[in-house]
Amino acid sequence: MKRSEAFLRNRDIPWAVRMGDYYIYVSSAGDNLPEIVESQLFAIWRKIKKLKVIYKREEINLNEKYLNSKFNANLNENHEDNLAFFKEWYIHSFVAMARRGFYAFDRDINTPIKDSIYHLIAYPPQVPKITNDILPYIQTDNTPMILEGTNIVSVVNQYFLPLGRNLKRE
Amino acid sequence: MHTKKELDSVTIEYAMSVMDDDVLSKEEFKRVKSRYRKYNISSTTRLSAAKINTQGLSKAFVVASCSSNSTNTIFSDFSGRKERQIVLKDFPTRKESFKIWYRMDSKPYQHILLFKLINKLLGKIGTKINETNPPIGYCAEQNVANRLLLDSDENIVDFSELMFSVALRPNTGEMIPYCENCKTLFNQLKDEKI
Repeated sequence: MKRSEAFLRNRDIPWAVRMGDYYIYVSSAGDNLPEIVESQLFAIWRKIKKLKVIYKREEINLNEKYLNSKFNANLNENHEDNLAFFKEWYIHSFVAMARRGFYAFDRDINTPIKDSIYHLIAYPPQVPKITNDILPYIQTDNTPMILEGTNIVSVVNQYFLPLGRNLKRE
Repeated sequence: MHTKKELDSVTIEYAMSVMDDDVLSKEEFKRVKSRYRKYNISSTTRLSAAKINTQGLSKAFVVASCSSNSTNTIFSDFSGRKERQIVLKDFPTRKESFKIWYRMDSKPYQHILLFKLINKLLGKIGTKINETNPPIGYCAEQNVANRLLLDSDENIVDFSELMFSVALRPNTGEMIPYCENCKTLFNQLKDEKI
């Protein structure tokens, strides 16, 4: 179901795909969704809700380079006093998904929609063995690190376009 | 009259109430919330926060709060278009005549002066001025201003009286810069440094 631009721009929509042996979680921050995700959005949400925590909080890796640049630059006076609080708030949903085995990405809100850039925020210590899932699948040997600093929506669309619409792989 | 810091604190609390992350288990969420409470953030006025329809896991992208020089209440609202259908009615009091009432099947209503200003300065609600600007009439700032103008006890006609908090993204707590549409509508936002 194609959603309107107004709906997408005003929503922070989480979505997920499987890329080879890795699981990718993305927070849209007002951006468009890949076509294959948009057609299966509720199914993806139902799947995400059922996932259990695999790793402890201490085991989760963070993209410290990006987080440091984000939280050390141009803070307004309210945020400066509570830096640790706002950093914890920022990462909490991505850490929650990383604890479930996902590589969690977020869109950089300072980039315009048409040139969106996504950054890896949190990821698990190792690749979990998850089987029998119904997430949209991208067949590749690449690791999720290739998605860092790219427009993930365009990448996912490119992977699925050559095979036609509504194709879901096992 | 409220300070900017008070408005920002209210927006933070409102954003945290929207955050209500479905991905976290109840125990995890309680632990996260209790960690946030140790930071001294408190609301000094009544919150008029409403839970949004999250439609699964998605949340509103932006939330903001608004107050004015002449009202004691802080209002909070979120981005997105609430369906507004227009039925114009006459009302006996001057205060009532500033509202366009909608059908009584609970569609939210639109403040007429704000509606006219949006049409005059930006264009038709739902359209876009250009590719860079967001769709007109969907911003959290416009929604919360509309809410304050309709629901406050004061008859506010001078929009320069309105004070806005920072706009926050509930999922992450990030500050969202004011867009060009909102800066055009509300001059006081042009000078704000985010």
